[in-house]
Amino acid sequence: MDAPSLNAPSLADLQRWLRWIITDPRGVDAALAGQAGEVDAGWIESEPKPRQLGMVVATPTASSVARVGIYASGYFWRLHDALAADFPGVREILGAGRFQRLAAEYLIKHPSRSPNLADLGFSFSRFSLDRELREEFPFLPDLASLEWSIHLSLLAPRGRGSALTSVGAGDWSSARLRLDPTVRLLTTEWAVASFWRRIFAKSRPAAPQRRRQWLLVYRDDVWVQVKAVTRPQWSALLRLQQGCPLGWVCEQLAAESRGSHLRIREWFRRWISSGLISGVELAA
Amino acid sequence: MAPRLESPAFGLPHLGVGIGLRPRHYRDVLTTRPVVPWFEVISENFMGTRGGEGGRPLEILEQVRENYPVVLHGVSLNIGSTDPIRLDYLSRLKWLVRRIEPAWVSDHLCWTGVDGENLHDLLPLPYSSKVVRHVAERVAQVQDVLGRQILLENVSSYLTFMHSEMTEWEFLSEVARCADCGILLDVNNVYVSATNHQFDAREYLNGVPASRVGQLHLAGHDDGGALLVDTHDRPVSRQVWELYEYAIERFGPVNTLIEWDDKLPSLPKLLEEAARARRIQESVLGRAVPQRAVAG
Repeated sequence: MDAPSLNAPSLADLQRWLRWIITDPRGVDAALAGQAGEVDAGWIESEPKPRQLGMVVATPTASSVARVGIYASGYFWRLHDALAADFPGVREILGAGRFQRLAAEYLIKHPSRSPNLADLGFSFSRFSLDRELREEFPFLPDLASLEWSIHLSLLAPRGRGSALTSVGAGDWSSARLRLDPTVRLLTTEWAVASFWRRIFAKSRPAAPQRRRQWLLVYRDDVWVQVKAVTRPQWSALLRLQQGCPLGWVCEQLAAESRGSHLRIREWFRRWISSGLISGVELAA
Repeated sequence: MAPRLESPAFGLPHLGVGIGLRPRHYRDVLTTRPVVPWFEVISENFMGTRGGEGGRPLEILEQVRENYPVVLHGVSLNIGSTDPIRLDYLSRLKWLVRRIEPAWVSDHLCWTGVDGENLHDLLPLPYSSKVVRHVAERVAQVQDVLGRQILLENVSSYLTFMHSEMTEWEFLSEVARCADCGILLDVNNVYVSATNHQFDAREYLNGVPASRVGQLHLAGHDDGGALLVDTHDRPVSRQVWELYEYAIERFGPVNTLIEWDDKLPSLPKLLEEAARARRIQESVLGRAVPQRAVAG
């Protein structure tokens, strides 16, 4: 092959220009023409100079623009599909067109900075909070937040805790129970848990009601579980997660729930058998 | 007595024809233990989120690993980028390598992002001696950290650059030689790129040093009209099977993998594709090609 007759651009300049054209939400033609986009023009990056399109070989079968366009189209759909997989309920509720628009706007504000596509939706629930979609779907941020918690629980390692039987009777009060790393605790203003379950079961539910929920998300031996719990139970789990001593957590739980010791003991028994408690730390 | 395995390609164990392990088949693989000599997985899918561990997917992979050899195939090494190599990523990969003990590790000869942004695509590089040196230095850094040689795969491409100084196969071969790494030769990618850029796919195969080819990939592509697109969503095409025959003549019975990522068929259908690759190896070589024995 002959030596190139052109002045070669630096690899960094070439890559920066290609990144710009591939990720520009207006599409390759409109971006090259410098057209204003549908989205707020302030979001759109200006074209890095010098333009590198002339470096891309064109053939009679495909122009340079068509060739770059394959990558631009692939970029959007690949990331769109990753978001749709992590937020299936949001995708279902919005429908294809509106979800595409939300994804496009999200990618402009929050392009992937991780080697792992699993991190892409990190800011999605907060992002959906600010959208105009919220007027029509006020529960959308809660639903997105629940779906992200499920995603994080699925990809968290399960704890390999020490046996609770090793704790002496006098040590329980000061012991700190470790919640399993798969546990996620969240509150929602809308009753999205049952709504999400019905969507997941492919049935189209009515919109969720405005009702505060305290949700527990965790992974058992097989898959992620979502449970609505009472506020005192949720608070107790949160305190355990924050490392508070068990004795104090139980005192607060008894006061807040007005529950008998027997009932509280039953809750703990259930949490332990469900794998929510992965270990215990004893005071030095 | 266990069958005698072929001479290793690029010093790698000869495993035979494997398939990609994808979530849709997790349950089938764990419950039916299909007769397949090895699995390849996408490394990033088992790294968890933001520095965490791999969660449920990793638990499943470790169960699979109890019965099968596994190969780690990455998509985010970003070896051709002008950004520094991400040491956090490399450290996660090294952690995964220790945990899974893969038969080998591979990624792509491409760039996937710049200025800290990841496009999650396999973008082509200009084929020049300057870029060869740039990539080779980075591969050396990766191999130092991992403490092992890696394989780099040729990507399907839809564009090339005016200022390239050499052919793609010369570029691939030079990178492998300078970096002292192996080659994962994707036969479908060779065919797709040969069609898109109008070069001879067999000349490409002839130009690659056989001693460095440790693995072959086979996959399906879409004929989008003006350009072929590497989609991994359908069976291997007739033309790619023909090119695979030629690759086996040229490289011998190299470890081969059927890659299928989208619109996944049932596990038996995927295994049929692997069986076809095995039959081609045997037909071309005129003898049985031992596969790694698997307890079903």
